[in-house]
Amino acid sequence: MYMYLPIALTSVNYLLVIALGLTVGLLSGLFGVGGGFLMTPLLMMIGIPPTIAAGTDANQIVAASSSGMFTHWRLGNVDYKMGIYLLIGGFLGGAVGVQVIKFLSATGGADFLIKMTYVVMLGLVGSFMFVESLVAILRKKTESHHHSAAASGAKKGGLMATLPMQIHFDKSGVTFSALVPFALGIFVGVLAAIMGVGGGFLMVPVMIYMLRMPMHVVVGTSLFQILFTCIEVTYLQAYYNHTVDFPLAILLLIGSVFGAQIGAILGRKLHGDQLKILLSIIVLGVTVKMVLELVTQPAILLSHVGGH
Amino acid sequence: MRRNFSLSGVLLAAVVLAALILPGRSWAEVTCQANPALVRITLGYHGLPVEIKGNSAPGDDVIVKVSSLPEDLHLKYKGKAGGIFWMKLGTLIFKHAPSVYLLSSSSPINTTLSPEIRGQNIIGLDALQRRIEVSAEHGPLPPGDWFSQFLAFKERDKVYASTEGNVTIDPKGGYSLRLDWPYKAAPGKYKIEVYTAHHGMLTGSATSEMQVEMTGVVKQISDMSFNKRGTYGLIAIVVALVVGFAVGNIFKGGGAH
Repeated sequence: MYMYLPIALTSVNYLLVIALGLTVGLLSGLFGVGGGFLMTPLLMMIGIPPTIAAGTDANQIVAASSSGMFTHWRLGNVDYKMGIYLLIGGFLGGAVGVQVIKFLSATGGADFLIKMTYVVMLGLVGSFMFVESLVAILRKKTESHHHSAAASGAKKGGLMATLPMQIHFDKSGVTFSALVPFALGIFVGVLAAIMGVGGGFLMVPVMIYMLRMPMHVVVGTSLFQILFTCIEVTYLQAYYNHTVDFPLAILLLIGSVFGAQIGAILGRKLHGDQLKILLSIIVLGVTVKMVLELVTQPAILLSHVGGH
Repeated sequence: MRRNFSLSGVLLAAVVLAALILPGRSWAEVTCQANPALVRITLGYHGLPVEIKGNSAPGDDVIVKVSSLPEDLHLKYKGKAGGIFWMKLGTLIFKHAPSVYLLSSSSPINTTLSPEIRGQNIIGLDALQRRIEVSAEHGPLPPGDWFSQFLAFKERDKVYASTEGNVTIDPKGGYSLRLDWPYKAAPGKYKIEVYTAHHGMLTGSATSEMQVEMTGVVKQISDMSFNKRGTYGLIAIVVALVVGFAVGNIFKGGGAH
């Protein structure tokens, strides 16, 4: 029942870890998010040091996102052109975010920035998705909501049409400047680096609401971007910080790859708005938990050095 | 006269003998041995029971201390920022603190030994508190009972404990202790110190060592992560990709939305 983790220097119940991987993998397949914003705190709860939790999580997301992306690729749901622009921006933003954290760590303000970024971003994204999805579901009962969505999309397109480097993204069926996904990639990359996660839960809403991409292409493209981001993070964490616990990653990925597939199958049975409202509830739940942690005095005021 | 001489001679001999033998008897007799003395960390390791036993004089109380070498431990501390949010505010340094400190005794140590003797030999958490110095990495030490917090932090990982009554004494002499060795205790050398006491005085002591080390696959993975970092990172990525694509292929019928 137990497995010793040579990098984390602790022992865990492997069935519990596989179950964690399954749950987070399910979210990955269902919503196209990496699940880092959930997995890292869950691993810390079972006694994994924060830095190891974050580093190893990136490794297991490589498996979960490659599994999910493979399925979406076969179904033609990956917009590679869009994914590459987002990825380039994400890599650049990630590098900037790492430097920001390095600077703030030296001045002692990193923890405050990380916590506040989490609460504000999760709160905003979760609330916006929840309200938008709820309105869409309610509206659908009386009239077709496609009309309003199309009108909103057209408005966005009008503003973006003034920018240079206009490109048509065939798979997503949208046309706008290449600078838009590039800039959004940088924005998400900076936040992802500050928050220590892959950024899927930020990228998905950005693709849905700002880029107006269809939901099925959003999930596949998000997984494509997450896969490459986490490959980079895994290597860097293993090489520079020794924070990738391979046996722990194996346990997590056993659960997550199956969870991702189950999530993808379940996703077929749910409408886009239902998926969005589910994801928004999870994101808001995590936000509430973080706010409670911030305002409630912890039982033990000491913790290991490293991590958030 | 001769009878008086003989009686006083016997008394003198008895006192001299007691003076020579009694203190020396216990010091000489006390032994300690851990079984296993080498704890091997394998893939299925979750801590294990370690038996510590040895000789002691009949009627003596026994105290067993297992600890690692003192070091400077750095830990983050949380406090209120802006009077509202609890978050990490800085780093505290706990100087001369062992990473593992497990104390076991046959009787309450407060009644077994005087505070001076406990302090000299760092027996008990009170004595440990006097030895450990707490300071902030930057600036003055923030207000708070940091040793109690440190203790709670260590006790949560089960690497600090002070348990009374878990050392079993044999009325004919000897003692034994069954220690649940914590899996969070890092690989390394640990010192076992055994003290025997009678009527508040130390009557003997013995020391021994136990070693905790990784072995087999656990050691190979650990070594590779430090000595072949690039290869380790690449293997982690390739395995994750292979498993991900393989499972994706198995679920060919599975689709997305």
